[in-house]
Amino acid sequence: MSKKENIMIKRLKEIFNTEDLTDKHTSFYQFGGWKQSKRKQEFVIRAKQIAESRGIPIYLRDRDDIGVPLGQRFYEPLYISSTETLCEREDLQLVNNAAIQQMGDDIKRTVIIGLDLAHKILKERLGKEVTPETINHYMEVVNHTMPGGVVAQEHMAEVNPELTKDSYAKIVTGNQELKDSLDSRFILDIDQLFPEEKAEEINDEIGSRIFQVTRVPTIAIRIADGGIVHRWASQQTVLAFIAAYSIGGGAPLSDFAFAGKHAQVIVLGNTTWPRRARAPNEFGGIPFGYISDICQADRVSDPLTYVLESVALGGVLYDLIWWGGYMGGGVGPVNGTASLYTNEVLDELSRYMDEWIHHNYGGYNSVKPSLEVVKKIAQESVCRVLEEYDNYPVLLEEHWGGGIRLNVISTLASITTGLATGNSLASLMAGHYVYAHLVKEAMGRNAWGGGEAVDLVSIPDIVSTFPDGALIPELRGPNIFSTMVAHSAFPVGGITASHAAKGHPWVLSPVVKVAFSDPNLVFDFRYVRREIAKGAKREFNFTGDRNALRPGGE
Amino acid sequence: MELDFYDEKGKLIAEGIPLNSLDFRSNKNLRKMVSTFRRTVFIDLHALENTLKNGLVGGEMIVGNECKVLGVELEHPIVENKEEIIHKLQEYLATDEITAIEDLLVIKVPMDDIEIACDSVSSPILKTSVALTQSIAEIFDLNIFDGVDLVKTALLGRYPQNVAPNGLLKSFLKVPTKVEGLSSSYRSMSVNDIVALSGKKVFDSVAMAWLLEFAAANETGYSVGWYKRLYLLGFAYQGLNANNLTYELVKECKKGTLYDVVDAVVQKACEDKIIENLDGIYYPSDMPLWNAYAASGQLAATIIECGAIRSAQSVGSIISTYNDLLQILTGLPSVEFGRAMGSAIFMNWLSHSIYGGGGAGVFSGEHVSVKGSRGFLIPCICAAMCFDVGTQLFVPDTTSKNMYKIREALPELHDIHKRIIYSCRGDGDE
Repeated sequence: MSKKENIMIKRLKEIFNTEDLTDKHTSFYQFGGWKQSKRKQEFVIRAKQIAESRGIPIYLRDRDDIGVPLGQRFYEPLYISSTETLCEREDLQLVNNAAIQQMGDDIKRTVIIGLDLAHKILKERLGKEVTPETINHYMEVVNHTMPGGVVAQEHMAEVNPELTKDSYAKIVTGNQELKDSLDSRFILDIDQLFPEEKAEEINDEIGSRIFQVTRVPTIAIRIADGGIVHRWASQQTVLAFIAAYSIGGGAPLSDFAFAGKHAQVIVLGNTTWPRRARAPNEFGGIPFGYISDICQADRVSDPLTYVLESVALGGVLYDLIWWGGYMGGGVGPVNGTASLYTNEVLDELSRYMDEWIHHNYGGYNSVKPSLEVVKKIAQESVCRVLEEYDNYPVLLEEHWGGGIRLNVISTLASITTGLATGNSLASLMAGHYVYAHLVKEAMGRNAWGGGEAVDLVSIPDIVSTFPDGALIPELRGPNIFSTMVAHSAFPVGGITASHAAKGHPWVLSPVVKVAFSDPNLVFDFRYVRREIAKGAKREFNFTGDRNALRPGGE
Repeated sequence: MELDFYDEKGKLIAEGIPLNSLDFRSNKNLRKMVSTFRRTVFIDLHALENTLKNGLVGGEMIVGNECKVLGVELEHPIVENKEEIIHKLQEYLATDEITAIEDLLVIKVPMDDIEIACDSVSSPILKTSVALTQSIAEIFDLNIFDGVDLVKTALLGRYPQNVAPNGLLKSFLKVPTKVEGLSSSYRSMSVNDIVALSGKKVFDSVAMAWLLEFAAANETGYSVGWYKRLYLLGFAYQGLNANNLTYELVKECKKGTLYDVVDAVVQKACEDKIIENLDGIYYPSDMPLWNAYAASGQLAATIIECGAIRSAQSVGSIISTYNDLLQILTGLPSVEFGRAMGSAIFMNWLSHSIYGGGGAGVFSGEHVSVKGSRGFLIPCICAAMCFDVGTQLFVPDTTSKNMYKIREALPELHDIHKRIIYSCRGDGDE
């Protein structure tokens, strides 16, 4: 296997400040409790000021009588994988990290509207001409209406553009001739944004269809839920059509609105089930395949990096934001998710398994999926990680809970199987099957309620013909009872790997893939972990704030 | 109370029918007729074959497809194996009620299943999905990694990642998670679907729409106690042309305006002593019957106006204006005590504005905008769409093409206006 430097080992030595990672002994009570953390110290100072100012106590970390979780433990910092950013766990908490929030916001505020039906209405019902010139004019108008500019109505209050400056609309089409005739400011140019071969396939699939990728302002989803997105987009789109094509009132308007709100609209997330009911475009409703498409690392990196970036995206989005929101709230599940994109752990393990695939099968997509292959890869993944835990107790210390360990091993098995077989179902099976080996080899019952519970149900379910069970992995997501609980990163990794292994230009939708290649997005989906690192360092420029409304704001 | 019923040409088809025979409790044939809507599912095998061949699963747009999964494509001669598929479905579903219209299978699950099922709207589609997936897996010898999950996905769409099946396996009614209000699935068929299924015939569309609305009213308690007679009379008069009232109003006012219809309704109601004019103030002697007269007038007004312009777009304003005039003239409550007018205004607004309603044909009874009126509104919109000669963007011939085919497999829904009336006499299979 590889003689290359093991970055995981390097990182662990740095963060635990030790040369001997194999040491099985440690000294207790000498780390200084919460004072180890610079962030917690900052919080304590600020909390005292806030408490004095508001007259109600807040954040009492310095009190001994309310629980002291760090007295006997070393509170190690974390490196964000693929970066040189060292941060504390607090920096990866949802509320503390603006990049993570913006990642969610940029997805949630996106809706894609097919313009073909609207153009049909214009031509057939209203006898209007639709040409590249009229489309350019319309695009100018819709970029006025989408952020809250008024057309065709008197006495309507307009929105301060400073508050909605991240709102706009662009066009996606595979029609080269049309694209060449349109104003480049409004085009998501597939040929420019994607490698040549992939661009060709995407262009072919989208063909002459025209889609409008629409970003409603971040502030809109901060004052409402995801259900506002397609409604906002549709209404402002219809108004733009009215102004751009000089349409009067009446029946065609409702057809425009129906087209934009219902008939030709791509809402990324489905409504969720009643117990965790959320409107459309919330994260629990987004299928795994869309996350693989939203991740853009395949445009700039090798397949394995693309997979690891997608794992970070899926983990943060589903487990930290979605699960942390509907199930818990408050501090949220930072650690389980962070274990997938910190300290190079998953990266090193994946590189090992990557070589193992090449050694055993000759490369990606080189072995036919079967239960034997699934079991073999799951077993190798489990043994490899358990060996690392045995060799390096600090790694076990770092991955301090069963749920964290299961998360890492499942993800490793899933992405390895995906890369080896190019089959997303096999990748899902491997991820779920890991628990069986863990029970047999070492850990007995493992994880917490949301770990192997999900695995036990999913193994028989995903290969059944039950209505509640079988659904191809690309369309599955956290709204399905057996995959909903804080164990959702590995399916994304496995699915991404299955398609990356075959060099597919998209996973579920070419239109969604192109929509997130947009350079004007606030969050750069090519470099998920780098962006999170920027957020951790407080270097991420987010949108959706209300600063313009503060005293003295402009 | 006994009523006479007339067909669309004003010809008597049954007389002396007791009003209560329209009640589901006393009419087995009506129960059987309405069960067809619950237990029938349909699948286009050609579409299934094409979907599997191209990996076109998971899309959620109504027009077009945004999703295509690469590398999962399955190329199997589904259509060619139609007979074997039918044979297996008959075995697994224990039904011999499967009809093939070209490549479209119309499948009825057994009544026993419907009686057992708690959710008898969802059950037929879910059970058939399992049976059909297994049938295809067996015929083409599909194993775990050969795309069994793709077949199931093609049939049920994103379910259960979304909350309702949206694949190629279809049913008439929407499952409860997609409708507004409990026990409202009977109200979930779109106007275009009803129009197409009834062969675009005005009286049949109105009768079918009323049957479904009345079934929902029955299920939700709107036709018990104080309200029972109101809805029974509405069904009889507006839905089934009782005592030839709708027909006579159309005949009398066919060259007139809405006001003429209003005038004729009031005059007829006075003649029949349903209402009485005392010093310029109208008093009802039988409020539910007055409502039925007013509802017949509302349908007549729709037929006259939409028939004259051969377009459905104005149906909302016809109904709201008709009721407005009726209220102003008499001081009496309009149809369904204002509900029809209110819902029509809402529907009219949404079908002419920027808020996403769409044209008349895409509305359904349980939609938030029209659900306020139970029974009295949707049948009139159906009538309007029957007259439409293609002025709408969403017409039955495009949105509901399959319904015309499915109709061929369901003779029990043909001439439904007459069938309902005959069922009151005890005619028909039980």
